[in-house]
This record gives sequence, C-alpha cells and structure tokens, in this order.
Amino acid sequence: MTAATVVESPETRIQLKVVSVLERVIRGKASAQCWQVTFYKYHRGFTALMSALGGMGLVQGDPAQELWSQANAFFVAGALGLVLAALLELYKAYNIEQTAIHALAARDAFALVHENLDLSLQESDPLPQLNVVVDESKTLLRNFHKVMPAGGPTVTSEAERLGKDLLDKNCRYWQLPPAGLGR
Amino acid sequence: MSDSQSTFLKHLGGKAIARFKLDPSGQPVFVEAEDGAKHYVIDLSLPEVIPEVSIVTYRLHPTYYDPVRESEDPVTHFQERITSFGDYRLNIEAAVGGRLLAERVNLSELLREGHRSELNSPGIAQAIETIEGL
Repeated sequence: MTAATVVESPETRIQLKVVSVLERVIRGKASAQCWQVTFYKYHRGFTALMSALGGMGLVQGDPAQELWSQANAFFVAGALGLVLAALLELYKAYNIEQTAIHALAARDAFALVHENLDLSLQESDPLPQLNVVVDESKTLLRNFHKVMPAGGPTVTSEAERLGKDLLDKNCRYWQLPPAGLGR
Repeated sequence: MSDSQSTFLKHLGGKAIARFKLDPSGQPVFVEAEDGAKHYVIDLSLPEVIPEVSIVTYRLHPTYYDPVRESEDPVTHFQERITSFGDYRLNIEAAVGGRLLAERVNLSELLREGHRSELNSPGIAQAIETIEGL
C-alpha cells in the first residue's frame, strides 16, 4: 500500500470541506423560506398599514350617509378586531415572531459564511482559513439547527454544483503542498 | 477522567474508538514512509450513535495537512480514516442538537478501546506498542 492510496490529496480535502460548508449555507439560506417568515412579514406590513390608517383624517359626505357609514364601520371594526385578536393569539402561541427572526438571522449569517468561504479560497493554501469557515458554519448550525431545513440529496447536489463553480473560479490562486501522511 | 469526558460518555453512551484497518490475515495495514516509519491506517468512529448527533469533528495532531476532520454520516458511526505512526492527543467533538460535547484522549487509548477483544493478537498488540513508543 502506498501513501497515495490512503491519503487524500489536498485538493480533495479542500473540495470535501467546500461542499460540506455549502450544504450548510444552502440550508441556512433556505431557513427564511418558511411560513413563519411569510406570516411575520405580513403581520409587520399589516401593523404598519393599520397604524397609517389610524392616523388618517375624517370621513367626508352628507351627515345621514356619514352616520350609516359610521355604524357599519363600528361593526366591521369589531369583527376585524375579533379576527385580529385570534390571529394575535396564534402568533404568540406558536412563537411565530421569534422563529421568524431566528430564521432571518440564520439566512443573513449563512450569507456571510458564503462570502467568507469564497474569500478563504483565494489564499495560496486555503485550508487553514477554510477550517476557520468550517468551524464558523458548525457554530451557526448548532445555534440555528431548529429553524434550518434538513439536508438531503437535492441539497448535496446543489452544494456540489456551487462548489465546483467556486473551486474553478479560485483554484488559480493555489500553491498546494504534496499529499503527506502527517503524524 | 475530566468533566468534559464524563459529559461525553454520559450523553453518547460510550467512548469514541479507533481501529486499525486489518488485512485478510488480521494484521494491521500500514504505509512505510521514506524514513522507514510505519504509518498505520486507522479508522476513528463512535461506538454507539444516538440520533441527536449531527456532526463529529476529530481534531488531529497539527502535523497533518488537514488536522480538522469531520463526519456527518451516522451510518458509518461518523467514521473518519487517518494514518499515524505515533501517539498523540486528539480532540473529538460531537454536535448534539445545540450542544457540543468534547473529549480529549490519546490515540493509543482509542485503539485499545477499539481492539479490546483482540489485544492478544500479536500483530495488533505490537502495532499499538509501536504507536505508543513514538
């Protein structure tokens, strides 16, 4: 048996790590594609709209018409209030806001990891810096695992495709050592 | 045993292990370097895997080109293949949900654990002694 049969080349080790980090990046960025984030965004938009409407002026027109309109408005407002109260309870009960904020933070943090991954590959020997990015991605994975979707073959193949592009783009910077056995 | 090791054992149900790759006659496989040192082929893994473990990281001796090895494969018990001619302390970290459990242990200890029932085999015993002596 020779060293070449048991030791992966530096290129292979880098490639494995890049794909591994990209799998986490894809999952991290996909965290924001959940219903809680959609609900949270609508909730925020609706709150802003209600606030704006509340600040708007008076109804104009003849007094009789205005009275009828006001009666209707009270009924509609009451019904709307009930619906809103129910939605608000659901919102609180399922920690929607907290989950959504977590998911959005995961998306942003992993976007930064993606950038750092690209930068790390521009070194003459990317591995030391790449290992820092690997650790960073693992820490984020532990912090955000509850909001991150699971991996799978689709994520892996997408990570491999992105990884190939990233490696093709950056391999011109590399001056890698020959494969060694270590201790 | 340190506190971190106790935590590791408590949550993972057992110690990490190392096993030599064996040839068909049961002898440890090695690569002979130019200086004559025998670099044994060794598989690191966890013995029992609880479903909550997502990633296992092995932090090896800094002389390896890549001293940080990861496995995310529970099917192989988070196995990682390395080579080594001598003993050193390595760090094993297991991500369990949001927690990180760590164990710092000698490679030779892991080998003894992994070959516990085969320590009478002269080939294995000699390989472990060689590793412990360097």
